[in-house]
Amino acid sequence: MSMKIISELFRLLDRLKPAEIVYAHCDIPCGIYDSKPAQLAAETVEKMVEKILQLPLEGEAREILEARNSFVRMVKVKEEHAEICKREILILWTDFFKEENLKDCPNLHDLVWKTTKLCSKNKREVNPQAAKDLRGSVDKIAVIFNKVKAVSK
Amino acid sequence: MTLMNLLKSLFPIERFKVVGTSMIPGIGAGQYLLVAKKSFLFNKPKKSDIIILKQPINRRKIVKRVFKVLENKYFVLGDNLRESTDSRFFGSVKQKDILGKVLFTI
Repeated sequence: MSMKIISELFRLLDRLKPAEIVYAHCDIPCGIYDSKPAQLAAETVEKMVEKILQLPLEGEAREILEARNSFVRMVKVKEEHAEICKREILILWTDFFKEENLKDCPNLHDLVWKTTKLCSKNKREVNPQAAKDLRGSVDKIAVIFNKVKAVSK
Repeated sequence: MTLMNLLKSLFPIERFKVVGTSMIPGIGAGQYLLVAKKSFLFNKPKKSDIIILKQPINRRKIVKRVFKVLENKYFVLGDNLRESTDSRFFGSVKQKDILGKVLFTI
């Protein structure tokens, strides 16, 4: 049974007896800054690299097929999260950090530049060292972010 | 408790409809969820589980993902971190506020 038919069945069922509502929305205005999304994305990239390297390179035809399928899926997730990481870091850089923060964190521009470069490197390569470096760099930005946030509270 | 409510409470699976966009891209507004209500009777929620819980402040039922398992508490986040009210706002949640695990999204 295709998903479209199942979906239609659920809509029909909903007309007969509406499903209970569950909320997935934002109660507070946006513009909340956080370093966690970038950290989570960097962690995901590192995990994907680790998993890709564990995939078998040889075996039965069925195993190879499954490994290829997993490989494609893992690369896709790695690409997506490297891009999310880059975007989240750039949001902090352009929107959250102010010029006055550079006094306490003079290497911020350089750190952001190197981190976003690492995001691109991780998209291009399956490189455990690059993934580890990315996570380390993002964590350093998170430390600066938390310091600035604590002061501005 | 009416007979219908009694039957509903005994049935292990419940249907929910999603309002809001805090779980995109995985779960969008208007999608249906099939939720296992007894899923955490014997097992504890794990990292990455998508769960239905009671928001600790307004007690509304919400859908979030377990980001971190703490000691008897769970830090939950929406997948769409820019538009989500989650543990960053209301703190970690207790297991008694977790109502079930999302099995399928339709």
